[in-house]
Amino acid sequence: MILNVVNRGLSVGFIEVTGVAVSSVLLIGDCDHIAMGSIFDTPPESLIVGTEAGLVPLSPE
Amino acid sequence: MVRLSMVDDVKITAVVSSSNFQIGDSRNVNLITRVLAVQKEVSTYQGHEGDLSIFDIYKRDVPFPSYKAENLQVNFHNEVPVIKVGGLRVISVASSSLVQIGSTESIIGIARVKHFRHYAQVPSGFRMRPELTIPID
Repeated sequence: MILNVVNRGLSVGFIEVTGVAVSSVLLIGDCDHIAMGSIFDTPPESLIVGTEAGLVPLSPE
Repeated sequence: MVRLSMVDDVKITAVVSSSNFQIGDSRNVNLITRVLAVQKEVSTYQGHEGDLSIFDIYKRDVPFPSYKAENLQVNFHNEVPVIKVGGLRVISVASSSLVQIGSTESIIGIARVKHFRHYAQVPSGFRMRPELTIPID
């Protein structure tokens, strides 16, 4: 397959972003290849109740 | 070949945790971060918390979309070789993130975040399921 891309004029007035977070990209330009991945884990067992100040050890995962 | 990026005005408040704000071209950008987030009702620390090695999330592979390489020929013709932006306002760039004004070949970002909540006692109105929590005192 042959893909022909013609980039004509690109003019943006104003960009307002609150946050770019956890494997994200805000790119003003060209790029060949982007790969972004993330894992976020808040399992129920990550809720700890008690006055013990330690964080570990908990069950791995 | 690549286009010129022109931004008149930039304001960024915070760039944190393996993040990057780049003005200009680059070739490879690799952003890797590991976060252990602990939200505590009472802010007490013993100094030895935060051993990441016991958590599997920091070792396992991050899933990336896979694709089959096929015969693909892409031709770019930049009729107007400029990307113009009047203004850019970003409050925060965090955890393996990138803000770039300019071109690059490859961007790879990996973020692993594990989040804990630590209460001193069961919050009022909160129904605890004992089999799902580990009281440690």
